Amino acid sequence: MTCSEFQDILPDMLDSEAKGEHAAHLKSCLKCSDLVSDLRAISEGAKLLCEADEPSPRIWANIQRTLEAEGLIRTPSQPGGVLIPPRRHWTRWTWATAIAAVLALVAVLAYHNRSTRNTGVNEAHNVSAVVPSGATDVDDEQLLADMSPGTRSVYEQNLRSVNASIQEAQATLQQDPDNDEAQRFLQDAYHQKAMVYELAMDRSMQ
Amino acid sequence: MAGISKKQGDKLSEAEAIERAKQGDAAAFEVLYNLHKRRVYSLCLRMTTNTAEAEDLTQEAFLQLFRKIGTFRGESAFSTWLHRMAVNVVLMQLRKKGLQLVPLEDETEGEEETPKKDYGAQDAVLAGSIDRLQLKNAIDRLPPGYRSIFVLHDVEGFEHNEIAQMVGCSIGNSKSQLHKARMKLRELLKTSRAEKAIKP
Repeated sequence: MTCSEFQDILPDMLDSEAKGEHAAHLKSCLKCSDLVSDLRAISEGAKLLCEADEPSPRIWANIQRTLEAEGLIRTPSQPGGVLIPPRRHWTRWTWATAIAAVLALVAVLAYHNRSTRNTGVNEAHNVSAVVPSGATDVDDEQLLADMSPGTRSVYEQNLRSVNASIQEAQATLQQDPDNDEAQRFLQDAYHQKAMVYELAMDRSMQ
Repeated sequence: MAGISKKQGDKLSEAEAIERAKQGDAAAFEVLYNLHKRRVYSLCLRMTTNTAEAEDLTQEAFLQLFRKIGTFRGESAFSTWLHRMAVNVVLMQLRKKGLQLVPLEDETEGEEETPKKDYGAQDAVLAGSIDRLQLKNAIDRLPPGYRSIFVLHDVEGFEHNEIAQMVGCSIGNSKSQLHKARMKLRELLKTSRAEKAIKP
């Protein structure tokens, strides 16, 4: 067997034991023997690169932020969770806004139900002027999908409001991760959102 | 986080972390991330040779994983599931960039890129003395097609049939490209060693 012939079959042979005439050639040819040793050493060396590098800590921070924004991480129910909070001077005001938004939702829905029954006129759009707006996410859109236009409008405005509060808190937390008050605020904002969802579910089952 | 406040320093097994992550436990997500981040990031870095791109792909791979974790039923090992997902994310990115993941079987690359058969005069051998950094650098200098196959097979441990399926080539082509990649690496490592020897 020549070196050329041996090297032609090398791709199939390298990862297994050489046999027969291949083994005989390897024994007699130092050149091919060195080649096989080198290629096997490269292959072995490569295995050590499997976990050779460490990603930057900001990768986890980005992942965590995205999971929070997508609602995949469960709302913490006690302090010390992974979610984090806003600055003292506006926290209380924003918190109050979120609670007011939910209360407004309940009131408007009650009014909307009565007026729809009596007159068929949709009064729900009136609340939109006093509720701050934020974006709705995929889950919100799914929740809103089956609602009548009037009811949808009320829920949408409230979800936007709560989402705006969540986003605001998250932004603050990015700058000041140790802000306990902001963390509590964010938890409450998620709680408010859960309440909105609960109301919507109860309503859909009626 | 009622009942889910264990931090990564605590002993939380992978199986426990998976179950808790399915419930949205942030700490469990972090445990899973820390268990697998090095392997996923190393894979992304070897395949792309670019730190920023590797970080973006690592992030994307884990996000995909966490979004789908509720569907993980444990038929395969979690690490297999994750690394398959990471490979798909990387390969998709490479395709988006228009890189040919594996050269066609009968296509020859440029003179410079194709490793030659070795039956000339004997010279220094590498065996037993391959420096990890030199090997990393040499892999970075491989043509993208060779690099994908080499990383998937020799670094990540995928079989040729799996690689063929992932990159869309024949098993024979995968074997052939792997061999060419190893030959090319040998050349690069020898050159690198020779250059180092010349320097004072």
